[in-house]
Amino acid sequence: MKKTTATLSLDALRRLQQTFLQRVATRDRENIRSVGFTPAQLTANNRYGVAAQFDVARKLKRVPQPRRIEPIETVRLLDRRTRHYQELELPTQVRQIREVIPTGVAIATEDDRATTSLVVRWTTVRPTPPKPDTEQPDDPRWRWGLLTVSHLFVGRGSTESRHRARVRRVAVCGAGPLTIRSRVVVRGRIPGGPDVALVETGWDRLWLSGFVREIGSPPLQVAAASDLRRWVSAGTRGQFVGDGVSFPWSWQTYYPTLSIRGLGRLEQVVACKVSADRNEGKQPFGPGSSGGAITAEGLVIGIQVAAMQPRFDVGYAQTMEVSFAWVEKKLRASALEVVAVVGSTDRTSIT
Amino acid sequence: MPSSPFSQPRCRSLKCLTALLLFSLVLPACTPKVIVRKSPTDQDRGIRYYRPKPYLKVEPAEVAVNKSQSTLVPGMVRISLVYMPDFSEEYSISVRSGCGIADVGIKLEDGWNLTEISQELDSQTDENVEAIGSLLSAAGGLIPTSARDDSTDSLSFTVPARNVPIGFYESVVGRDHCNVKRLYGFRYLGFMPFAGCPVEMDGHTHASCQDPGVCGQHPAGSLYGLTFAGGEMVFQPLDVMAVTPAVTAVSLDEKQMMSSERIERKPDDVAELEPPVAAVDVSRLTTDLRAHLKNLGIEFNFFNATNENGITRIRVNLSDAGSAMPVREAIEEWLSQRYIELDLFDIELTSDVGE
Repeated sequence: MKKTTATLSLDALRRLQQTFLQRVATRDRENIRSVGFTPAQLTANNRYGVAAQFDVARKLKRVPQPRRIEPIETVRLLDRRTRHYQELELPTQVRQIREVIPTGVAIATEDDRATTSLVVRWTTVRPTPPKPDTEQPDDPRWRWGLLTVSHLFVGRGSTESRHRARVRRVAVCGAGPLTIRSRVVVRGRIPGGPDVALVETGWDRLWLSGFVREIGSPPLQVAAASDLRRWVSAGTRGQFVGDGVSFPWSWQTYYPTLSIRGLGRLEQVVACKVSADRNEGKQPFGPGSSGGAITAEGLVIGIQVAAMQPRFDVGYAQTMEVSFAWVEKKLRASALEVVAVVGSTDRTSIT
Repeated sequence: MPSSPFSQPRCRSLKCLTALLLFSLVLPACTPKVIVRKSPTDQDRGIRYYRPKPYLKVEPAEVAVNKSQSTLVPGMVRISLVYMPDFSEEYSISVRSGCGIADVGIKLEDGWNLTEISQELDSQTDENVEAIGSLLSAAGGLIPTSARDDSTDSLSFTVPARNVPIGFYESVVGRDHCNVKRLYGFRYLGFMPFAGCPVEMDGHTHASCQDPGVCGQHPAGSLYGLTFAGGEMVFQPLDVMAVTPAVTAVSLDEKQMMSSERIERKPDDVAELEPPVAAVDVSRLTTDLRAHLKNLGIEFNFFNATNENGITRIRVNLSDAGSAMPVREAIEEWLSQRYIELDLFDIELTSDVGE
């Protein structure tokens, strides 16, 4: 029985990736760097499905048969419910890529920086207290912070230590504070991830700086596994919100796991590409843009962690499905909510 | 016979002393006096006046067609400095003639603007001098404030402009952290009366750039400023201006160059100056509106917003077709709280079932 690729779960994609990586090990280990999944139009029924994407260092014209990636690869996949194997025929794409590097630079000098675009609030009180609103904004049971990447703090002590961090507004607007003092509450282990860190600060500073427009605003929706599944086969277009910039991107590839130099093997990484006309002479996902948020259809998908050299027009983001859940667990929070995506006009950086 | 302790010469001198003392006590009350009070009460019967406050007046530029007619110049505005009453700086002047004659002349222009004081008093006492001194100090040094004054006529210039609201821009004056008064800028008022939501940019009271339209301000609720973009003056949110490279009007060609003189241009078709158009941040709108609908408990299969040719299309695929009306109302209400021009939005509600 053949299974349609459009209905593959994230777990199925993970197992498929492992199968392909094992095949890669026997075929062309040196050249093939990673395997992901990308939307593809299936010629058979003219519908969208999933194609396996092989990222290679060099695209070769003539490849010997044993090393060749066939246009359609056949794989067996265990259906965990029926305990039967299903045979899948996945179309393949081979894409030549350059090196993917982390774009939030570890702090060594004053110039290094990363971005933060997601304002969150959380509480550890159970049952979950009512949300702070305009009338009662200063509720000590709720704490406020900003999400950024963990690799920003690599080499600055253990992951449990409470670093001080400064969130600096790049573009000043209004009379709010220029620098928001904060401290790192949790951060993921690098290498391995999740590549996420939470810096805590006060709601008043966030509000005065224009990062939070409404104290009592409802929480923003975070992309769930079902959304990711849909986009793996159908793709989507969204917006990257980073350090004073905001530009559209289109969905490229979903990687159940992806090895990035310096970051290790990260789970659930999404590659998105900036349209060519937006990329003239700029490096949209360039150094310092890590920590920016990618959103689509009103959902916060993830935090950008890396980009492809040298043009930095393809960004890599770890999904909130992984990082957000990890932060919530680490905080032992009864509620963790994304309050705002700091807009393109509210420029921030972390130093 | 022993002499009385109150002998006649002594008694006379005591009477003189008493009279002198009484005279010295009564004299100040009898002296003509000009009294200036700040923030007078309702019971104060003095003549009221207000300190002048500078405003920028932005109006469509006019050119003279002939001696008796003028017409508007499309795409150009004239900016001038005008003075209007500062209602927070109210004073009253009371003149008391006392025992003497007080010939005090007070000239108020437009019923509020103290432009002249002349006084002739019959007594050159210190009190009068002090009164005048207090008057001048209270008035803070009178300045020519009449709109017809030559000095203010020169404070106008005509510039090319686009989407610049016509009307008055109030000066925002406040004290900085050193308690020194400063002019922080001008805030657009339009022709509307005071709306009860001032933002005093005085270094103590802060305003968030992103504060939503709580003050009946622009949709995004931002503070706005005037800047030049593409050679034209435009009305822009400060947060946008902060990341937009500024250019000056000097780069314009001769015909459009900034001028303090009247422009001698033949009027073509007079284009209507458009009101400011809200810049819709589709990304933010999508995330915020989606969160709002979820918070209301509305279930949908698909939600997205895109910007196409200046129109923001909001597409929602509902799980239940019967909820289309309330969902539309909820979206429209949410939009109306944030944006003025609802015509810029196109709401498309669909449903896979129940249609």
